[in-house]
Amino acid sequence: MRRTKRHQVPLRRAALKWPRRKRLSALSSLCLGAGVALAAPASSQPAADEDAPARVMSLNVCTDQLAMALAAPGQLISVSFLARDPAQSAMHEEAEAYPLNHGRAEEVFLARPDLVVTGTYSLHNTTELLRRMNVRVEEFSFVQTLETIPGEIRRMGALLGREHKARKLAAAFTAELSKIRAGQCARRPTALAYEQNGVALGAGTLADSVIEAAGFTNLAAQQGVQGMAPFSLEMVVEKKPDVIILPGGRNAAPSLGARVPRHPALEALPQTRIGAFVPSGSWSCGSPAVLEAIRALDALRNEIAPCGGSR
Amino acid sequence: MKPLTLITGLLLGVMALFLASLAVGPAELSLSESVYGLFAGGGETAAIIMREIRLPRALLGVCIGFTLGISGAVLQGFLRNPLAEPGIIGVSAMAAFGAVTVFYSGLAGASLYALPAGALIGALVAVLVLMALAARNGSTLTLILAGVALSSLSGALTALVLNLSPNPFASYEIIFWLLGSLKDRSMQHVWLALPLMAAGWLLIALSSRAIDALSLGEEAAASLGTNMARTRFLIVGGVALCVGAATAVSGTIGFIGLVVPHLIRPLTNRMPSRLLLPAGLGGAALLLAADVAVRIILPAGELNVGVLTALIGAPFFLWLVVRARREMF
Amino acid sequence: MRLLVENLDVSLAKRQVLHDVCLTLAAGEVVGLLGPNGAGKSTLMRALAGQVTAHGVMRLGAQDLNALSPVPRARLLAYLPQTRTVGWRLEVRDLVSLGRLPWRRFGVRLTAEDMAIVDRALTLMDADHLADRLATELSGGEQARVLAARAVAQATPLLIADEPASGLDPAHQMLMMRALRRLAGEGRAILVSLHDLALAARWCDRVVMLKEGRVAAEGQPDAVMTAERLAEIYGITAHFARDDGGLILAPTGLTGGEAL
Repeated sequence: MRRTKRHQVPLRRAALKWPRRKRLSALSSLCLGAGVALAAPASSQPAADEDAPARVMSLNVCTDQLAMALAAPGQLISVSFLARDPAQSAMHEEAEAYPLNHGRAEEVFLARPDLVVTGTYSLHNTTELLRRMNVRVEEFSFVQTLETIPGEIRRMGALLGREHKARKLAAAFTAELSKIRAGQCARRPTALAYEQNGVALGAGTLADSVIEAAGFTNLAAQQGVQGMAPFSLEMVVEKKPDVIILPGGRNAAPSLGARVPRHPALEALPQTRIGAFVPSGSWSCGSPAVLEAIRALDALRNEIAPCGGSR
Repeated sequence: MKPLTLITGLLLGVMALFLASLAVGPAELSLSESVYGLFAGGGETAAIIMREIRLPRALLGVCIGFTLGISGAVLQGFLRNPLAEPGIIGVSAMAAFGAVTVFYSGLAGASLYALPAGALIGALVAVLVLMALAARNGSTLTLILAGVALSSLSGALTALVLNLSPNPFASYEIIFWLLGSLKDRSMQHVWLALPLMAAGWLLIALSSRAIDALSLGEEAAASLGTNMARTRFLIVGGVALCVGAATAVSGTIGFIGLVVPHLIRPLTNRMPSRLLLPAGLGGAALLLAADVAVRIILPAGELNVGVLTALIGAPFFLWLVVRARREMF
Repeated sequence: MRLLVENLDVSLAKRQVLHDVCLTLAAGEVVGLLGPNGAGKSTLMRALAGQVTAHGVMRLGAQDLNALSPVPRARLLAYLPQTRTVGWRLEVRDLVSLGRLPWRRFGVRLTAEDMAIVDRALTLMDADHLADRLATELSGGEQARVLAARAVAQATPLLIADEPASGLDPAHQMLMMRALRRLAGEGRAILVSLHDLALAARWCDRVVMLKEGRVAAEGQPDAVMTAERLAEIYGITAHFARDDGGLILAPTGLTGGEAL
């Protein structure tokens, strides 16, 4: 059984990354619509490359991923401080090349960016303040499924004036995703993404769609868990998932919550594979890096329940 | 009530509640499944749930409840103060602070042993400070005010340490440390805490003659052959050991040490030593009952048991304060 | 068994409170310890009870009191402190049973013999009828006798009682003194401090009068409690008479100019 150090998706930072419920994202698109109408061409009417913003700041670890993937050299002047955290950011190595910001209104204002990209809920007050100071702010509501990722890539491309690259990236993403999905079969083992304090990632989360895309059934979603919610140890033991995915990444410091997914009761489950199977940071954000998570889980699924194999 | 009747009754109550604690949980196990799971071997679902999840929880309920009850009784007897209790006088809070400091700082890696080590130091410091205060000025008020100060200070320091932790999850655990819980403990926790708690109970039991003699005041107690230094050592050491170990695995669970001795005392001859065992058993029963209740009231989210004991205990404390006259006890 | 105190010095917080005190006390005697407030009566008693550090000779029979550990000391000497403390709502019999603690082994319950000694102590202190009451609900005089019964139940050859009669009405004072005499009649030695000179004059075999930490006079009440000495030590005048029961002494006023 493979065991790696766990990765931490802390609740409060998770909130920076994606809203917990879908209705929130619906609400956010309303806000976004208003902001776009005031300050910028909507994504359906992309700006020409020569109108592209020259100085772009990203205040959120998830917009960091998209911006770093798409921006022209020199266009992105800073990324959020979390971008270098391997537990949070799939592109933490790339982020070493960029200055960091802490999302404070003053530092943004002083940096005089042409465009600020951030998450809808992460720094809401800051966003409002920046708008009042006539800084152009684009919010990304953090998608919770794989299906919306290509759209987000294209939208970031449009904002940065890098439509061509974005289209290529989005197409590659879609193609790769379809390829992996094509490998699925009827046998779908169950998997549970079990976070600190016994919180499971249920329906509507990015993790849920990654688990499904890799050919697993998400146990938490199957049991009616919506978003991130507590999932009792007893239920885990009773439902005996084939795979328990622990948070991966570098273990920053001890916490009691981190012990719950490692409870001896789970280790006593004879058939269950437990480990941090997903590369650290790879499914924290709806970015192309999610593919790494899907590939890793797909490989695991092929190992424990190969298609066409017989048991 | 005859002491034997009282103890038998309380023992039966503890056993019944222990079984209830084993029977309650999110997984719906039938009675036969539970019993089979507990005693038969194998990797069966029921066996894992019973042995790895519910049994440690019920055992910790008994031991920690016993600890809180007996500590409350011995502190009340020793200080001749009906409001003394490990939670109110700040011992639990200091123990939590100690555990948090050692554990989250990563000094001991992520080792569980860091928890009792830190908690014992915290509890010891608290008991020593309080005893020093009580020796100078033994009034009820001084002790309670000192306890309030100690509790607030250690609560704030606990929050500080947790906020400074590089692990962002740590700051959520402040709730656990301030209002404890028995959720998701394992047998590891039992083996960690039980020997220390048992040692604490033993020291407390050895002080029983002294606390009886102390009902006549320190001078009379000394003239009855009580060695005050030894008594102080037994009680400081005993309370620090068992409350420290309890807090290390369950966080701060308040008011049990206050409520239980008051409920049980009228059923005894009020001799402090005669209260120790019944108060321990009563504490075990009350904590088990509260821990069963939190699982039934909010099965999904599960309330921390410390919240429930505070909800019951704080009004009781107020009521005691309002009508408190020493001779009433 | 005889108490012998010689050249006793006691200092509290670097201030010398007792100077060179000498005292003897024989079995069957009630000795009154007199002196104004602050003369050192309580300190002397605490020194004998081993509760303050003292330098000098303190012997009870063959035993050196200074060298005794708490439990053997508690089997030789019972001390009744001035402050009357009853911590919990204990029944009188349970409270008096605490006097048996020095004689009981850990974890061993009270024996029938213990219970007999407790009952006897209650009888000696005229407290039989209180046995089943709550000690916290007694009158001051009753409580004083019950607490004294605890010291009596210790069954020690020496009993030291600090102001056992203070705060009691005349009848209760006399009940207390009569009980102490009865104990002496059983062969115990009693050292009792008193503020009430009339009580001391009438009920004590001998009195020891302290002034500023030194023994100012010692002997039978008739010999010690003279008009001159009362004027010198207490600064009072008194009326003296006598009857079959002994000396009758009634303070009448302050000596002129020697106001305290």
